[in-house]
Amino acid sequence: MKRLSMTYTVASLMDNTNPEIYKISSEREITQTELSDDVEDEFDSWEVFDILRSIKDPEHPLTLEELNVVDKSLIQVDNKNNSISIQFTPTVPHCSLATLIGLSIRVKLVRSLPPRFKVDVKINPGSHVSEIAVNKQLNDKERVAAALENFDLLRTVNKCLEER
Amino acid sequence: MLVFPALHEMSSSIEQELVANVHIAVTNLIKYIPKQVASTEKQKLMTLLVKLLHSEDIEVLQQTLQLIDADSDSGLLEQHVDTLLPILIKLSICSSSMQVRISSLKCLATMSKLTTLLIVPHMNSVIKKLLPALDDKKRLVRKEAVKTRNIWCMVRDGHESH
Repeated sequence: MKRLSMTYTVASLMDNTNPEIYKISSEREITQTELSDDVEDEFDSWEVFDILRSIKDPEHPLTLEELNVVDKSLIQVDNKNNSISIQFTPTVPHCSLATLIGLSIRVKLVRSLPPRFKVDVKINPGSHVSEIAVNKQLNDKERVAAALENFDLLRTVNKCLEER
Repeated sequence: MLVFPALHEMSSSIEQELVANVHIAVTNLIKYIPKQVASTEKQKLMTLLVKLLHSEDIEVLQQTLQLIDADSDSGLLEQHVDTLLPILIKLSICSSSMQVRISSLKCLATMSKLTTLLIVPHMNSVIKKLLPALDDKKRLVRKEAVKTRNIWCMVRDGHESH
């Protein structure tokens, strides 16, 4: 009930008052090799997905997984060449918060991945009106660093990255 | 508790191989002490636990880490922040046992919840030193490292949002 009244009062400010909620994937099962001290586990898409899935959407009390903003199949990991590429799908094509969401993804990855990985964060092609501009912003290191010097912006990003 | 001084003395006077056994005895005993008795001796206990973290025995390390993590008296942990953080970080990266690395990462996460003013000065150092843990060869360790490092990255925003 609480959630409904919240949506009602800020309805005029939100882009998407009734987001579609997706069923979430299960948790990864722990395998025998993962439990063994001697075997090395390589990075894979599921691992990166696990890092991103619980990021909160700035507008709704839902995760990026629940809103299908991040999807395991749109994450590619090339461990040998140290590169990771992620495509995310904003909830609506004109979503004004796409950059913020992209930024949250970037920050979470910087905090969670070893520095050897080069990471590409882009909008799922065709899912947003300003994808070229947003992609440019998100993949320009200097612009990202400059954005994060804004205290309020960083605060907002941190709110999205809090564990429940 | 009379056993403790004796065990403590033993650990400094007997040969190295037997010291590990003494430490195992100590950590197992601590588990079963009733709370009221433990609280009077907590100071000494904490100092001992911190010392035990420098042991090489995996069993001792596991037990000690679990004890430290379970300690609900944050005031006590706060007194030992400066000695605990470095050894916990070292264990998280260098220990040969996956379980020990995971347990010390969990301990580090618990430490991040202590008084903000005490913890914030350590933030940058902890974050920097935990970088290798993100590339640990075991996925389960990496998972814990991600959790712990992220909590530490947000320590400054602190307890307002909780």
